[in-house]
Amino acid sequence: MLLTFALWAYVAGMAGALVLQRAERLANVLGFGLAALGGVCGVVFSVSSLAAGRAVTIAPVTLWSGPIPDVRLVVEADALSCFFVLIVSLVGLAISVFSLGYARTYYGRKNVGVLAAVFNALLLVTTLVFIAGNLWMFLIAWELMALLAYGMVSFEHEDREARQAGVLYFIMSHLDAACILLGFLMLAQAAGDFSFASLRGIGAKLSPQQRDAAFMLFVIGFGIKAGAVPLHIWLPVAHPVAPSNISALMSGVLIKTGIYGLVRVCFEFLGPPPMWWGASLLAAGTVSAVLGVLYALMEHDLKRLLAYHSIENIGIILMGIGAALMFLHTGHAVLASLALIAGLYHTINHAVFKALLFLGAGAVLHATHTRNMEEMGGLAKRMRWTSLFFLVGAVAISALPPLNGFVSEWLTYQSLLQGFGTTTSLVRLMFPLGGAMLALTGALAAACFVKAFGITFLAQPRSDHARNAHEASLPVLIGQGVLTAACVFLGLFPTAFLKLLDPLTQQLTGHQLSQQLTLANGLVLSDATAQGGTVSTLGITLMAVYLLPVPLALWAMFGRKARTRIAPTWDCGQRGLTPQMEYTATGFSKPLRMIFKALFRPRREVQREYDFSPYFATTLRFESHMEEVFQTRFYRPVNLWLLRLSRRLRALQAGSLQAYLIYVFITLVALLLFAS
Amino acid sequence: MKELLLIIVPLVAAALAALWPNNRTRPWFLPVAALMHTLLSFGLLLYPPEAPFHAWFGYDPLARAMLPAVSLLFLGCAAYGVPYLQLRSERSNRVFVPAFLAALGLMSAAHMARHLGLLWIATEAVTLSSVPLLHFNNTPRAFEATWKYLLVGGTGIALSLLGSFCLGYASLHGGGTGDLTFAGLVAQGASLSRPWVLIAWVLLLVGYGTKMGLAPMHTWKPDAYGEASGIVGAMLAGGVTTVAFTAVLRVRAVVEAAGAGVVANRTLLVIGLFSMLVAALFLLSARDFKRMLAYSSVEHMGILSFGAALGGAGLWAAFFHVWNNSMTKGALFLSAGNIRRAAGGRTVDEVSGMSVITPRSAALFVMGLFAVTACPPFGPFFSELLIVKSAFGTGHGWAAAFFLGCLLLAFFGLTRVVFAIVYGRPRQAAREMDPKFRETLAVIVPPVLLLLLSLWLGLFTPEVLRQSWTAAVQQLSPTP
Amino acid sequence: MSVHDTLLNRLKRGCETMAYPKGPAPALPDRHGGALKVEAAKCDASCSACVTVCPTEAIARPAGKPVALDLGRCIFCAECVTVCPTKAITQSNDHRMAVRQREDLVLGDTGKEQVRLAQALDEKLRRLFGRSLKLRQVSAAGCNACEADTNVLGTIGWDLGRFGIQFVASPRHADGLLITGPVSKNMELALKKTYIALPEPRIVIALGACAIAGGPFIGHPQHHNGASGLVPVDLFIPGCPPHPLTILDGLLRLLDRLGESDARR
Repeated sequence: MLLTFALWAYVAGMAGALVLQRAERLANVLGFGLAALGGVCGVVFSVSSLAAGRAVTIAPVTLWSGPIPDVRLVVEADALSCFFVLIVSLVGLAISVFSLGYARTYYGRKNVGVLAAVFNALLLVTTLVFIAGNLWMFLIAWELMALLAYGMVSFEHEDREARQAGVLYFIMSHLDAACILLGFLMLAQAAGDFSFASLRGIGAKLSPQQRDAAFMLFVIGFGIKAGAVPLHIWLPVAHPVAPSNISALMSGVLIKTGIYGLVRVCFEFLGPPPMWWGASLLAAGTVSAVLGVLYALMEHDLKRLLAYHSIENIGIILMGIGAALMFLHTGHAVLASLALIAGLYHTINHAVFKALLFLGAGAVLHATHTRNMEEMGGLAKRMRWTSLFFLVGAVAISALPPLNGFVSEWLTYQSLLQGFGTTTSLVRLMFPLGGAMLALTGALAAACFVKAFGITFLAQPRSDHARNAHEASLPVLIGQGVLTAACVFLGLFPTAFLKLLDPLTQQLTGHQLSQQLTLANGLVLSDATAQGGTVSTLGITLMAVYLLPVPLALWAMFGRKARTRIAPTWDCGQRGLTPQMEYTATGFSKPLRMIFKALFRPRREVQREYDFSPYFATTLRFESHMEEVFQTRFYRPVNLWLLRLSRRLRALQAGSLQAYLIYVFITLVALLLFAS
Repeated sequence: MKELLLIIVPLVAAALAALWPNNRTRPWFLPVAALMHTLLSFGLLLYPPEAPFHAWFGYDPLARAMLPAVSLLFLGCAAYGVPYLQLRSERSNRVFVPAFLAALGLMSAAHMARHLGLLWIATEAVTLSSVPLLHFNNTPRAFEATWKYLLVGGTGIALSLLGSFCLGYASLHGGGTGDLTFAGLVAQGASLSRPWVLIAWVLLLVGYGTKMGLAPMHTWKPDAYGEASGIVGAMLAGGVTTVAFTAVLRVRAVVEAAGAGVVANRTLLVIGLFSMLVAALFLLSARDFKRMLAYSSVEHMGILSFGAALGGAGLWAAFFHVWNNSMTKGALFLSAGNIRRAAGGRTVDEVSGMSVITPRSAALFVMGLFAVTACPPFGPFFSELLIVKSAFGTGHGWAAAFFLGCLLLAFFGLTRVVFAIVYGRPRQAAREMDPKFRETLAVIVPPVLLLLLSLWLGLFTPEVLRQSWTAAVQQLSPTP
Repeated sequence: MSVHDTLLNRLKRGCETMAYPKGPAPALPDRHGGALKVEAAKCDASCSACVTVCPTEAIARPAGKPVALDLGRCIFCAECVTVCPTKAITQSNDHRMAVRQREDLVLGDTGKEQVRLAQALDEKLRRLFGRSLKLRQVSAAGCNACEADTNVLGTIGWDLGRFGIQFVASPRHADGLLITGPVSKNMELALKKTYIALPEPRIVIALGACAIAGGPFIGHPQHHNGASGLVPVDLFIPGCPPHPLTILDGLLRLLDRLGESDARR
């Protein structure tokens, strides 16, 4: 069956790339080609499964039964699994094609075979996470995913930044695996079995405290993986240093495993949620969204900026899911479906446009040899296609119609705004507040991408590398093109895509919404309420296309007589435009840095050296810092406290033999007392 | 009969090696004797004798569950020992080789001891025979480590002797016939005088726990493992600790039979978790990568105690973990030994960038790190997960959470040190570097094989092993 | 002051813009000399007192020719008026001085005693700019007095905006260029680029003695002696600095917004 074929394609790609390590080109083509093939199969499989509307696509199948009793690897695919398999396959396919061209930059420098092999392995284990049918399979795939991703983050381990990022990522992954393990063990304890089939609805058997504890553990565990604030500190550190195709995979797919886990656990295993579960997810999502975009605005490292945006979008997804949980509690199943659809639609949208942006960033990074936006510029003329694709990605992530980001955020707004009427408690204030914060986020995101696109691609090149940049190779462009097409499709035809989500919502909330959300034969997207808010991205586009002849006609009638003269850009009478006159990324975001200075706590240092007058400085040094609030206020103090505790304890191992013997004696006495 | 060979063969080889004149070819006694021992012990594993050889002494299910692991580890170390000793040909190995072989023989004896007194004698003989091994490096620090090992170990010896007397007296007081075999003591059961049994339990736990390296009796471990060469460290961490664990288990069976099983389990649980906590906290600020391995050993002893305290499935998982631990520690210590030889230093300040200088050993060290911190698909992942699962199953949810927390903290500490050593720009403490050291196949293959074994154990645990562990659990706590 | 107070204050004071050009021009102070009137017929044959006394050599009396006073070079110090024995040169107190051609500023010959005032733009340009003229100001290394007096035209009393005349920031938005200052070598490129940046059709206004002929800086090697040599000028407004009324008169004359009451010739 197609999925099996896809998985074997990944295995073959992994093996082939490893075997052919020495023959770089062959390893590249074989490894990434097979990954692409696997991706195609995965996409076809998942789309056809979802379209068929079945609740269960693959009944639980035992892949391998270990010698130890009840250590088994079971796979199972239902609608939720298929949806996420679609995400990993589609994004994996595009990135594989991209990598065919991108891996050439590593020829002679690093081991391309290993890169291709680990890439295939990552796709394989991520797919396995989504189709895991019992705890062993899930855990093993989860930990392998973390291990492989760690390997890729420290792929360029000669660079100290990459090494430190890898270590932090590894540590946070273990933390989240421990939390998830504990939570699942609590559930499995009540079920008596490790398979997901027996865990469904198990929450009803646990006491409320146990359910709450399990929920907290899952939120922390999956939250670390997804990158929700305040568990996100590894994300902006790890995603930039990995090779760009891996960054795209991590930001596009790997963090979605956290979302998958949360949805699976909260909607299927834990049973009816109390209000505070959904409210806390909504709050966490709102905070993540706003903080993510605010930090993104301050970045001038292109990939770090994109990494912070991932945090923001995860926040938006969590808002949708949190709202869905709240609606489940108040009994509004239709609204819960709507909110869940909004969250999941945003999941696939984010996967697609974030991967697209990272691929573009990768192409830019290769052309300009830097991640620092302050050294880029003028690439729109030199890398036409890449800048076009990046522009589409930027428009999509800023939630501008008619692209996909707009559709999912519209759906999120609709579900939030309607939440106000669902309950009479004060909690309902969270909904409009969330909506307002979402609006703020959207505006800030648009500003941020104006900066990102403008500084990177527009105006004049700010460095020699940027000046000599050339367009990326064909596979790189095709990879980006695939994702661009996906963005456009998901934006223009949401009603068609929503049909695919039907079996999902049926399984998780008991409602199929696509009929209610579709009006006018699929042209218009509705929000399924009596008040009937509607939007039609396809309509907007078609209208723009239909109206296009109007300005053309006007031009033909009146415009042709006008004389046009092509002259250099007005430069205030200077000798000519130089890159020094352009906006810097730091300068562009300064107003926002000042507005939000309570959050950023910027520190600025200017040092000036001069000979005879301070007005004629010989050197000028400017440094601007922001406080990394979470690191300095929480993580570092905890880390330091643990280290200090450990060092103080070392005093006990001082080397004094008498002390050692006394310990033995004390233990003896204590145990004697304890035993009696 | 064959069981006796398990003891006799290494001891005879030790005597022969002591008489052997040629320093260069003497190391070959190690792999030869080890191979014979391994073949014997696996033969006995597959075809166990129907009944133990003698009431005091024999190959019972408990020995069958643990001894082959020690044997296999010794084989790996012996194979490594040949190139190692040839590298250290400036020192005479006339004491080292016999002592190493004698240790193997005595460890086999200790595993098979079924009499309280014989167990004590065998265990302490193992201690004495490993003293010259510690001292092989002949540095002042090695001397200090040996001294501490002897003294703290000696305290443990004394305490376990005292405990043995107490247990004997408990038996006599309860109307026993002076039969100090474990089977006999268990048979006496409830008639054992309870207060004496409890005192004996505490003394024996502390005594043998010192040998195991449970906290806070572990203080000799960092020095000893830090100063010993890799091969000796592997033997201590994987073999000697197993002997002590067997001793504790035998005593616990008696205590449980006497009706104080709950107390015994509770003390084991507390001391196990305490060991894990102490190890984790010390690991957080570890700087020396060989002492780090000592703390990791303390942690794993804590895991074993925790599993043993849970009984049933937990005990079964503890046996599984003994095998995993031996293999993993073997690989870690041997590759650490390679690194130490090549780098010349032993702390994170002195050593970095080993992935460039000794790429294969560095890779092995990192793989070993993954294995020892319970990453799938290595064996410790499965055994530790089974222990946690049984903890939940017996209602020790909070203890399981604490267990995972300590594992996490230990993981942080280990990762820090290992990555600092392996990555980065190469830097070596030139003064102690061994210029003759090369990463030949001979020093790489043994740790690779041990690591592969640890991988294989997790994925394809053989039926015969599983059955042996089940039989051992049955023997220790024959529940209806 | 609060918003409320501001509004009340405005309402109390009402409209304070002057009625000119629909009413009389505001009264000019005594110090205002106005345009010069040169009657060469009154000159003595051998007198060249005014020639020597002029600081900018604006007056020339070549042999056998009548005296010629170039109002474009004149900085209106009125020394020549004081020194002339026959009162051939007098100050007329007339504020109207703007001309279209440079030659129209040379006074003295018969029929040229006073400036021939500017004519309006041709019909096509008047249709474009008559009710909306956006100017870009280029301050080319002068003393800023001309700029200050131009700035005054933006205040409430004068209100240049009611004629649709405004100063804009970018030459791309402008219809015309208003140049002040003698155009130093450093400003040459800026001036030329600004002129080129203006979309066509465009006009250029040279304001003040410096912009027309270099003013007090005439002949300096670091200056270009005004804008006339660099860009084609459509309106010359002499003065040093010209009175705001003079400037306004010149601009309105150009756009034919004065009303016939004040037209001359």
